[in-house]
Amino acid sequence: MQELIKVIDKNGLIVAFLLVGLLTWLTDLFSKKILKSRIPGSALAIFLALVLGYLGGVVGKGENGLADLGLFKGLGTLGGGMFRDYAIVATALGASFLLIRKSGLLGLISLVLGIGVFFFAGVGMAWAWGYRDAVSLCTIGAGACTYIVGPVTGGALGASSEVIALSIGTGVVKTIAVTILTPILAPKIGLNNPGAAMAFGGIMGTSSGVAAGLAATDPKLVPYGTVTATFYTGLGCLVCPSLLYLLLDTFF
Amino acid sequence: VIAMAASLNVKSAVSSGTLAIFGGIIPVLLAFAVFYLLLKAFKTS
Repeated sequence: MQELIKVIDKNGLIVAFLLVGLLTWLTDLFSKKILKSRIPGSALAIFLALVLGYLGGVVGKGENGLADLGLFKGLGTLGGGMFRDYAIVATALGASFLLIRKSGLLGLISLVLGIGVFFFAGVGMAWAWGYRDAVSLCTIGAGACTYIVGPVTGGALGASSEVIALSIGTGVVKTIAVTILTPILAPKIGLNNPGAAMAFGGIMGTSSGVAAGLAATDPKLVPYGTVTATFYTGLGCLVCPSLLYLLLDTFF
Repeated sequence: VIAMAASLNVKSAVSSGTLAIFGGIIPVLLAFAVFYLLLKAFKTS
């Protein structure tokens, strides 16, 4: 046992990768086998990660979630600045202009509208909850776009870890809401053809939520919706911490 | 993202949990309305 603890202690980052991989695999399996993909595995994984982070904070009595516990200190490196910047670059590469050309004018308008609606609605909610500084408002607004754009923006702007966690939580709730509401509202809003699916992906943004929601509506629409949804995250990572932050900074 | 979540101060964020719930649901309802209007506008144009 002592030897095992020594090995874990010396290989914190590998243990962190293992833990994240295991959590992702198990939640994906649970989503597919038990929930019939009604809630995406990634949303479950992030929700569970937040719960674990909370428990880590309670048990470790620190401010770094599970990373406060010696066994999981590698999570601090995996979730730290270096890997965060790597994630920003990798996600921003999703902003391929070849993809946006495929979706046409409707796709382009839906992307701009989608980021605008979610960002400013998120900012409005954060303002109503008492946040008044541009960094927090921008991070929570970005979190309303997706649970990837939120922490990327918060990390880039130097937001507090509490606000970043909140932005991830907002993004997770959004993904679940999109997944559940899409099959219910699809017949009423005309979401029944590839063009509409592309516009839908551009407005809603969350790739996992759009994919799961469209799969429950009509599986043939999934590839069309995810084309623009993938672009949304990349575009969000580019404009939220730059253009939209500067815009907010002039008012707050 | 999961790793990031694990190194965050989730404990303090939980106190603002209602913001995460409303901030996640209300913009989605707005976006559904915008999507409906956008499709309508494109069909009539």
